[in-house]
Amino acid sequence: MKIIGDNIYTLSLAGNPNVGKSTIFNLLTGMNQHTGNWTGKTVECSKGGFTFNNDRFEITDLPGTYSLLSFSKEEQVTRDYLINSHSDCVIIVADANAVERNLVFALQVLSVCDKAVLCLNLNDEAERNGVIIDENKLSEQLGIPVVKCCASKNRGIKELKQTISEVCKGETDCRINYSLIEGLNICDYKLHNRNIRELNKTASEICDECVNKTGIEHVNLRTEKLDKILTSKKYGIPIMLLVFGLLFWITVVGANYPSQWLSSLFSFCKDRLVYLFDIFHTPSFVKGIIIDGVYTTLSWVVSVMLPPMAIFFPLFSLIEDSGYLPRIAFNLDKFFAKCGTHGKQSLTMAMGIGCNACGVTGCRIIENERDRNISILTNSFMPCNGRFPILIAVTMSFFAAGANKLVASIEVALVLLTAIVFAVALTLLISKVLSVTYKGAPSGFALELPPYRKPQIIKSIVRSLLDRTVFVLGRAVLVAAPAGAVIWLLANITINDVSLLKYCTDFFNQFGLFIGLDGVIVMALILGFPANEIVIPIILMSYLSCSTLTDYTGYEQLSQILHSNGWSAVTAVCMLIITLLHFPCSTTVLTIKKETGSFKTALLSMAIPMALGIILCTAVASIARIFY
Amino acid sequence: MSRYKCLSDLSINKSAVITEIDSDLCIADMGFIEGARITAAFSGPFGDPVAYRVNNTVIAIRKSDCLLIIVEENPYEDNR
Repeated sequence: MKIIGDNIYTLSLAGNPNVGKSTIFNLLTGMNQHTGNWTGKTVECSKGGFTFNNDRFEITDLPGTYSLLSFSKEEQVTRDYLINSHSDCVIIVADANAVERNLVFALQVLSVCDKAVLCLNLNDEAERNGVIIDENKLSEQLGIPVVKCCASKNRGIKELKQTISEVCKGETDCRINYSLIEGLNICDYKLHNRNIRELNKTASEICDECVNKTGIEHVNLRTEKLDKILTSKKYGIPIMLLVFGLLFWITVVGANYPSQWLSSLFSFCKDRLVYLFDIFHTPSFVKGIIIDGVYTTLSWVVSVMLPPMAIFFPLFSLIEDSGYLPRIAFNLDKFFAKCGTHGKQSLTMAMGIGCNACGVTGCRIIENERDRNISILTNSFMPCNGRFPILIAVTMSFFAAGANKLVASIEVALVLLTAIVFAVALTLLISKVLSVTYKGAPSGFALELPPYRKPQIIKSIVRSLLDRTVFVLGRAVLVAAPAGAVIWLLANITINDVSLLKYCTDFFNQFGLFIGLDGVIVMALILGFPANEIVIPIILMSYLSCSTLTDYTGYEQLSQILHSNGWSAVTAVCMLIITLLHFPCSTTVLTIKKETGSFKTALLSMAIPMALGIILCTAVASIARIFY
Repeated sequence: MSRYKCLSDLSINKSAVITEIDSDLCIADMGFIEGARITAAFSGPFGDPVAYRVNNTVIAIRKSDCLLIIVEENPYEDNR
């Protein structure tokens, strides 16, 4: 029987962005919260806990902010939390490579809390760069315990837990040296100027005493050398395109075999299920709705959607963890500036590639409300992981059927890359239009470029699989099951010998054909509102509802089905366009409503891509009609 | 020629000391304060924005935002 601890202590985790705070949080709590080597990764307060010596410690990971003195919403949230929450202990995570700046923040935190521990993270890197910190002296000066850590190597975490425990229980003294921060009131905006100056002076003095630097200013040589290439005029953008092209190519190539393997597995299980149902003499209605409806849709979703997700998400996480993302924002900022929007938008777009809802939440890193709204409204132009497999499937079955496997995969990767570039260009264009219509001045742009750090490959992949892949897939499965049942019902309930499904698709058919698609596709897109992952399964189920349902065996089969249902190359192109440009999924729309508090904005977020998609598809279809 | 110039006029690899800056800017929280040593590290493919190193932190700022920051060039402490 587990012994329940005597005490529960509440902790807060605060620090500048990019100091490895979330890594420390993960190590302390054993959770798999998202980390990433770029500013603003943590936009929500995550909560977790750990047990140490039979006591329970509950931690809140606050968003990283550079200071508590300014007016931005994020800083207000952190400041209010620290003042009002009365944590038993605040853990201030600092970057040992930039002690002075981090101390400015630490001093601000100390002015509003009773007990704190300073965690000097990234210490290994600092010592390698010749920065030796005397933690005892520093501890004396500040009046709080100081622990050196290297989160990436799991060093110092046990000592950190020990120190936190001692501070909370009163075993270690915490006598904050208030003389350092005399007269500091972080809530007083009027004294902002003076506060910053004084704090910087104090921090500088403390550093002179406690930090031993070899050399005047150490420069992270490796990062600097890499940056000079990765942001250069000649190589910067080509390398960016290459990285994404490679990312897509690996996803496409890697996803194919697991897809087939999975569908064989499902097919095997299905036969057993049919056998089982037959033994119990299940009525064919029940058998139909569960096996042909729910099970088949589920197996399609998992075998088609899971493999690309399981490859793309982890690879993307590796890129995030290396620190490359801010460089992308840096390279593309000129375009964003020309469109009157914020450079950080490219970071939110990158988040949107994983999941549009996450991209929308990530827009919190943009302080200016106008820029934030523009980013939110345009975020769904970026194809999320639910839509990627649609793009892959359509491209594979239409533009790369047969031929050399290698050539086919490169073609598909190129199409995906083009789709992304198109989506980015469109985002910029629409952002420009919106920036003209939205009132307000554009904000300044300041982006921290953290040093490149080797990602912890295994940890990153595992975390990404659990966090993103499983989560997104789980949501898709939850939606796919009822959707499968609905489709089966529609296909098998007939009125006057015509199935309900046929009535629905016929209803949309005129409109569908006009814009270059057909009724089935339109209905699938509408039914796919809860999750884009079910669009292809619905299309297939609808086409196959008149014949016996088969299982997914490969893109050749998909190609056959589509061709025999009237698809042409034009249809495929329009399908690609409408996949990129239709209303975001329901989760995203709800998130937009939550983030902006505006019903109108949520509706706009659906209307804008929808309108664009319809217009573009109609244009393509009309042009094709003229020439053919 | 005056050693005082706009930050945007500071060439790559040159160092300077910030002499005038509006502290209400968010970059003040990142270390951009009067008296701070700043080096122009590198620029983007289009020459804008430029990445500056201040206090061991590299921060990218647009040229248009640099106009209000005045620095004094320090020729004896330039980057290698």
